[in-house]
Amino acid sequence: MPKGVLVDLTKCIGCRGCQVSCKQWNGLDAEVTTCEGSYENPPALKSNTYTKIRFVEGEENNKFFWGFIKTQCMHCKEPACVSACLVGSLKKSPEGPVTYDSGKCIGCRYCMLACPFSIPTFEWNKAFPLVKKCTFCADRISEGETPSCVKTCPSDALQFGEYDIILKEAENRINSNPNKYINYIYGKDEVGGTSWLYISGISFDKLGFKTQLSKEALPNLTWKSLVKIPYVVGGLAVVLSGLWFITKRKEEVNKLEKTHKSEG
Amino acid sequence: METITVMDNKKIPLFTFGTIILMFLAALGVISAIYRLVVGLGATTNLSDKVPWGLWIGMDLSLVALSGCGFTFAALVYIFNFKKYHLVLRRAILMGLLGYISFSIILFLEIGRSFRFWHPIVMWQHHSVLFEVTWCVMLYTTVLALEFCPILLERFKMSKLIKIIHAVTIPLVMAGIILSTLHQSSLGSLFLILPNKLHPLWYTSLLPYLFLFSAVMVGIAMVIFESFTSSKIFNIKLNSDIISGLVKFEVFVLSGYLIFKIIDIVNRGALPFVFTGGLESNMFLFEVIIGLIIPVVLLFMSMFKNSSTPIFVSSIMIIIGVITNRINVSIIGLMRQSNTVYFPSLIEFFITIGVIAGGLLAFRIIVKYFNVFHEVENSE
Amino acid sequence: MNNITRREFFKFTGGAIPAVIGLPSLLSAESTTTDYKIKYAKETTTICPFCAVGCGIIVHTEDGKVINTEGDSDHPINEGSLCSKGSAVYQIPNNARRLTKMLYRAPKSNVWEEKDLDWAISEVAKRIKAARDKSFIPVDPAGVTVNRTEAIASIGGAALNNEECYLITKLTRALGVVYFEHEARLCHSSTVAALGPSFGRGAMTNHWIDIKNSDCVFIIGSNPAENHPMAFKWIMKAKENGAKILVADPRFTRSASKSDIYVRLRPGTDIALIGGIINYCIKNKLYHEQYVKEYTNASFLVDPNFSFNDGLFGGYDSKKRAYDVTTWDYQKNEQGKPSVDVTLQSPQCVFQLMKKHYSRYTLNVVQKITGITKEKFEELAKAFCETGKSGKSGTILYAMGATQHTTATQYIRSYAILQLLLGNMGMPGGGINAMRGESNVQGSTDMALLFHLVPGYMSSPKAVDHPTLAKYLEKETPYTSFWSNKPKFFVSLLKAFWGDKATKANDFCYDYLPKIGSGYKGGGYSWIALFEAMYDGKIKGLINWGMNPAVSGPNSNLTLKGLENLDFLVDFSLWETETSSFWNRPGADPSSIKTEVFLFPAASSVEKEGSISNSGRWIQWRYKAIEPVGDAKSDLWYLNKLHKELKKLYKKDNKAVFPDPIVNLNWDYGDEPDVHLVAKEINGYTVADKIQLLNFTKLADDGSTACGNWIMSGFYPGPDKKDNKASQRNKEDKSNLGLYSGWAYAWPLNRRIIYNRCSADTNGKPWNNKKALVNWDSVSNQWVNNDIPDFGWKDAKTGNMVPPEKSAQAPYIMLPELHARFFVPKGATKEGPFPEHYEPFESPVKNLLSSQQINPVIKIWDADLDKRAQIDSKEFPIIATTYRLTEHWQAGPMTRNLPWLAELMPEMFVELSPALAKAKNINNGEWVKIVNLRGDCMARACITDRIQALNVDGKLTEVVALPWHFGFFGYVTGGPDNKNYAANQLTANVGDGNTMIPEYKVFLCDIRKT
Ligand SMILES: Nc1nc2c(c(=O)[nH]1)N[C@H]1C(S)=C(S)[C@@H](COP(=O)(O)OP(=O)(O)OC[C@H]3O[C@@H](n4cnc5c(=O)[nH]c(N)nc54)[C@H](O)[C@@H]3O)O[C@H]1N2
Ligand SMILES: Nc1nc2c(c(=O)[nH]1)N[C@H]1C(S)=C(S)[C@@H](COP(=O)(O)OP(=O)(O)OC[C@H]3O[C@@H](n4cnc5c(=O)[nH]c(N)nc54)[C@H](O)[C@@H]3O)O[C@H]1N2
Ligand code: SF4
Ligand code: SF4
Ligand code: SF4
Ligand code: SF4
Ligand code: SF4
Ligand SMILES: [Mo]
Repeated sequence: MPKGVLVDLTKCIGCRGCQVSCKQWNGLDAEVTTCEGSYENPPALKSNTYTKIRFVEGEENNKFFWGFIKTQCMHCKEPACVSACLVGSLKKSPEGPVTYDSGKCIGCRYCMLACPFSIPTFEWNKAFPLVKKCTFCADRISEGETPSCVKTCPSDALQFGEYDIILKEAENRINSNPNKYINYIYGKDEVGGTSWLYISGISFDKLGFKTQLSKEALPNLTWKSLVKIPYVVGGLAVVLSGLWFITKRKEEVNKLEKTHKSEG
Repeated sequence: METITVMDNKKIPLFTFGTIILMFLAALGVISAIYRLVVGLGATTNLSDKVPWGLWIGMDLSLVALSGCGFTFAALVYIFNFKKYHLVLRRAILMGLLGYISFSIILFLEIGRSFRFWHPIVMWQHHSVLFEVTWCVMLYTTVLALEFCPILLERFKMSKLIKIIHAVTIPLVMAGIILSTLHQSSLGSLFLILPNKLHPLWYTSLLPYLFLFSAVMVGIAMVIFESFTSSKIFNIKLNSDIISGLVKFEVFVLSGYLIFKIIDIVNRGALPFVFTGGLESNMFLFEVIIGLIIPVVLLFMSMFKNSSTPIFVSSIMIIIGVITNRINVSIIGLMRQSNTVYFPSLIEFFITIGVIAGGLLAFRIIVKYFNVFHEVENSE
Repeated sequence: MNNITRREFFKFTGGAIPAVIGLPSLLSAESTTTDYKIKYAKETTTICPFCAVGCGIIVHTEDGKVINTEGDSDHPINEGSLCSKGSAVYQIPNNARRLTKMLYRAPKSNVWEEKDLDWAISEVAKRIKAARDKSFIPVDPAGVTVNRTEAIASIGGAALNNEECYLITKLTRALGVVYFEHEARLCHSSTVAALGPSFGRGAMTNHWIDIKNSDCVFIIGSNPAENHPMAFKWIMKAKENGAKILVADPRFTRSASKSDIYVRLRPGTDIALIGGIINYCIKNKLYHEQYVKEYTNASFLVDPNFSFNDGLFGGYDSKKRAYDVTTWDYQKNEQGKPSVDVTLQSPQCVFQLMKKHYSRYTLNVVQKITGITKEKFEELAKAFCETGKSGKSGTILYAMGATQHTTATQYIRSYAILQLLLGNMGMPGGGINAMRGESNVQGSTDMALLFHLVPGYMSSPKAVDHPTLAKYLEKETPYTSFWSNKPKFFVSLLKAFWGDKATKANDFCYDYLPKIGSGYKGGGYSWIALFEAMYDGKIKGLINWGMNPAVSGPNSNLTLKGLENLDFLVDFSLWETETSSFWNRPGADPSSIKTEVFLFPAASSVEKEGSISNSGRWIQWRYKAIEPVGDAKSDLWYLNKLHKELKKLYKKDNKAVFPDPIVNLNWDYGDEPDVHLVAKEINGYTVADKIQLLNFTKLADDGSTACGNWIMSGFYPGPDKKDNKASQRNKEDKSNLGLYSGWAYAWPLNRRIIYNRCSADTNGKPWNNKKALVNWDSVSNQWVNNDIPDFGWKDAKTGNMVPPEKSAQAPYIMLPELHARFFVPKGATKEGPFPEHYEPFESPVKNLLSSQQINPVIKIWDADLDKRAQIDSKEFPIIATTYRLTEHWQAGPMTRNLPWLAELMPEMFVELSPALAKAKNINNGEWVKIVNLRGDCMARACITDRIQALNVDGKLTEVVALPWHFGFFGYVTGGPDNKNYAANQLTANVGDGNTMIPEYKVFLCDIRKT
């Protein structure tokens, strides 16, 4: 059964327990950072940072807000990264996680480009680099544990469970608290749906979410042209042979005519 | 039966001012490449998580497009039976082959785990466009090599083998055309997965067609360009018949492509972006004006005037235009969403330039020792 | 859309591809699955070493190495969760910066030398002995035996285990040390000074999980989302159940981001704000009338001579800066008990006096002082006063925003008054939750690592008041309240300290305890006095049990200079800190600093065993997961060794000064000290047959029992490890209120919510059936209890139930009146019986309420480095406040050395409003300098709408806020090397009138572009 995580932004207190516990569980090194006039750090996801909280200040309905937004791989239902990966290093597992087989990866980074959320990162500073991203703690999930970040979240802003139940929970929360939540579940339809879902009290665009993403699963877009291959191969083979045959015939006919003429 | 008259290419000098510079650049490339392999991508390129693909991919896309001359001319000669182009076929194939080899070298250095380059051969993931491209390129490079084989074999007088290859020429050519059609278009399909990332000036579901179309277009331009340069450098007689024929083709293809592109832009409602100013629209205008509109006009006019300079200039402009297009799609068009300004590092340039220099050197050496500029006569 | 599926594709390609696809999987040897890394690891439970929430952590070890740490899912408080700090605990044992060797710095040297532990300890013992013997004061000028030394000081302990704190208390007092302080002074000393006199005890009344039962959570003077993140688990639960979250803070904090109502107020003005709410509450009759009448001293009549005028209560002496408190008392009836007027109508009754006092806190005045708008004020007051309804409960969560002011005690007093008015005390979901700070600051305070107390909140012997044991007991024991048992607690403590040597004949060695005098410049021995004395060269040796005063103390320039005046500094720590390396600080010349420094590597919390007490008074056990790193040893080990060494020295030296308290110390815990022996001593036992006591009700005052800390008694009632109730892990919660009485052990007597008699009406019916802690079943005439009753409910001798009417007359058993106090009599709070607003020590404005500008009873220090900006200073017009970040811990060593946390908050910054930034032409992220008369500090500008200027009496007043976690030493320091980024370079050595807690939360400054 596919799993999912519900991120309820109305509950996140920005404590970044998730950020640290992710590093702890996954054995990721710290980065050397500087203060850029905000609490947010490190500046971006990196090969040693699978998740981070974005801090966003703004105003909605004349009320000041300070939003904390957890970011990590969304574990798309039909992941662009998986379809992009030419060696099958990335895979969508039936339990939900998009996993990575480091033994296969050739480091082409097409997955990074393909990801609509720009999630996968690369070990740029290594001679033999790998792609890195949130694993959905697949190792924990398969042991019946919750992902490290979810487990650590003090304010229950993160909830892990069966995708269907999680989705219902999201709908329930919105329906029973229409004043508290924006009536939208981010990730329900984005790029064909993601295993991680977000609900919020502040409009998603103000929080810097990519709100323009297509609803269609991205792999469809390339798949559409890939499925044409057999037709192209078959079609071209026929057409080319036909053409060749015709031109050949023409030439032979021409030759014959020439000889006929000279004979005649 | 064809007979081949070998022209006197032995006199082509290997060490000129130009070739020494090329050798230097190629050597610089080799050193850079070794450095790149030892220390990794981060230290040698300006690539980053936000800009995972850069100059090398842009160059790779361009190289494949430019090498489109191979299949274009094979098709012209063998399938459409435009015999006169047989004269430039060998060059087209050689340029194609060298293009694909350069492509592979850059790609080898481009991927993070270079020594796993063989993985796609055994690890299959047929949902990936890149997988398809990789296979097509591998196969097509083999095809090109086989097509080029006779030239090598000739020299070593291995006529039996030549015969065998000649026997399979047509199937080979057809395979080449099919593979090229697939991967030339698929290189465009690579970007279909980026509807939300690639700038609307370039993102279109027709990208594969545009890529294929422009590959044919630039293939022709390449041969024109090569004919002119070779004639200057190697002192070969320019075949005006061939050139004027190619110009007619090119005018046709160019205007077709231009119209195709315009209709697509208008259709998608992306026209406003063309004139908003800024990096993207400037680069788009550059690509279209320099690479398409001006050449169309010049070539069209040249059909009525007896002057070769505009033809030569146009061919250069078309080549620049297509390279710009590939760079626009793979770099410029992705800049806004990544929020980062990317400019290639010195090493990226060194390697790119080194590979191209190497290709040019190889071309020179091959034309010196093998019969590429052959002349074909009818024996009858 | 093209809907060709994978299968169709295969079909199309005739199955050729699938056949080949099998190949790759054969060829790629490496597999996808990573091993579950903790599959074969050993699990040990521990408690988070950071904040006083006390979250449970599981430590996974393999081959003696910590390989993973994560939340303990069974733990009822955190249910497996951990904040960023708790999640980073892994990096404490696994850290290259941890001290693994003893380091010694010779006088004037500029380097550390690695030394042998045994050598170092014996050297330290020699230094201590020499300093003590040279400075020992056996008798004071008045002829009282005082047996004290004022040349040695001891600080720290809140990061240590209870058993370690107990041994610190024991050894330090045996040495006669009176400059004896620790984090509690800087932290919640004002809490104890306010809550004690109001309710009888100084602790957090409820506990973390209980917050979920609240109808309204008022977060004022604290920021739990950042500093007690796990509190938010329960705040969120309350919110889900419909509770309102209110936040009053000068800054829009992470807590504020989750609030329903946020009010921005000027730092230092809570008394005005709460005064306004009290006024609003009384005026609009929103208080809980029955509660007020029955459970408080509202109806008590006050001395007719009691007066209040222009900010001063009657009896003020401006020379002494102190009050004569004789009129601050009740009228007494014939039995000597306070007279009452149950109608609350008498103008002399507490209620009417209070009403009159607060009638001055009008909306207009409150608005002008605090800078809160009228609308916001009313919104806030209305929302919180809702909880005055019977059955509703609201809680106040506060911490340093309240405690660290010159008016701090009265800040908290005003919270207490409000909570009593609304009937919120003793209620589930109510109470005053003084959120303790350090993981074991509750325990270290219980252990009285403070000059003025001995373990269990009993006064330290004072030379003036307590020359003999008899005098001590006479003065300190009230006739009513549970404190009437004090002699039992005190004598048992002396028995625990000096064992068989303590006999009735020798007053149980009462004279072995040092007696305190008036302290440095008459200002006592507390933190500020201690460092003023050190700066003055009076203190020769400092023993530091895990503090970093060079960063955490106020006026760090004075503090650092003070350290230079020491002969020796003994420091037990996990890291090299700003304190132990003060001689190597930016700008210092080591060759001119004579202080000898002994730096000992201490074991971290997962490298030792023992108990700690969280803010909710839960005593929890932590187990040892691994051996200490390198040469590190537990503090218990050091204390044991140091004692042994000192005893040896004192035994050997027949010229030693008063060696008795040391050589006779009852100290036998083994060579490798057994922490369970110490824990059992704390619990108490019978002297004759060494049987563990059930709890403190079994203590006696005749020397037949020994008990190291009476309030904790009951936590280790039997001889075996299984009897250790701190290690209980029973998760049953019949009440559904989250009491978890079978998990760990809460003092006193495992009561989870204190003053719980007040959760029910006089007939013993709970105000709210869903919030029943105790319940009188009138059918069976029985008390049916969810919690341990905090009142006389069962006759100890007969076992009969005590009817509710009786206990309703004594709901607050720790106070002599047995009722909670709106009015605090007899100067138990020095500023007066009712809280009154005064301006902070440094303020940009005049006090609008009276002509008393500042707290009339605070001590003004006058060393050359003690400087003060004028009112309305043109040079320093900006108010500054200091605060904490979730990701950093205190003075920094515990988090600035952990790369995962340093990464999140790498550098010192200052929060300022966009308007101020504009006026000063400051850009976001650039380095600026914050300056005042005492010092300056570099910080990156963090320009944010979370900070705004306040309209104070028509004048826009800017506020800047500085985190105080940075310094000059560590994996990160706060910025580029060789600078000091400690905010405390700016704060003043000035304290509250009762406990001298420093005013860290308000001072004046200017901010400059660099
Ligand atoms: N992450 C983390 N957690 C900690 C600590 C830590 O260092 N880091 N330290 C622990 C310790 S020892 C303690 S004591 C606690 C302290 O916990 P808190 O008291 O929550 O800590 P602070 O951030 O110092 O102060 C709280 C708030 O008081 C506000 N404030 C300042 N002045 C006033 C005022 O006059 N009135 C009001 N209403 N608010 C005011 C500040 O803006 C600040 O937001 O935290 C403990 N927990
Ligand atoms: N400006 C300003 N200053 C403040 C405050 C404020 O709000 N504003 N708050 C004040 C408050 S509330 C407090 S509590 C103080 C705290 O001030 P401190 O107690 O001085 O600060 P910490 O950073 O907690 O001290 C950490 C030290 O404890 C050591 N340690 C940790 N565990 C152990 C152990 O098991 N054994 C031993 N031996 N050492 C150990 C570490 O090595 C580290 O050196 O600061 C106060 N200072
Ligand atoms: S978010 Fe990106 S990396 Fe993650 S599954 Fe989706 S496409 Fe792949
Ligand atoms: S970088 Fe690795 S994982 Fe990503 S697409 Fe390429 S091979 Fe697949
Ligand atoms: S699911 Fe696991 S890997 Fe992903 S962000 Fe959470 S902790 Fe990190
Ligand atoms: S742990 Fe939870 S509350 Fe803390 S930042 Fe992460 S999501 Fe937010
Ligand atoms: S710091 Fe406090 S809230 Fe955070 S994990 Fe530790 S005890 Fe829990
Ligand atoms: Mo504290």
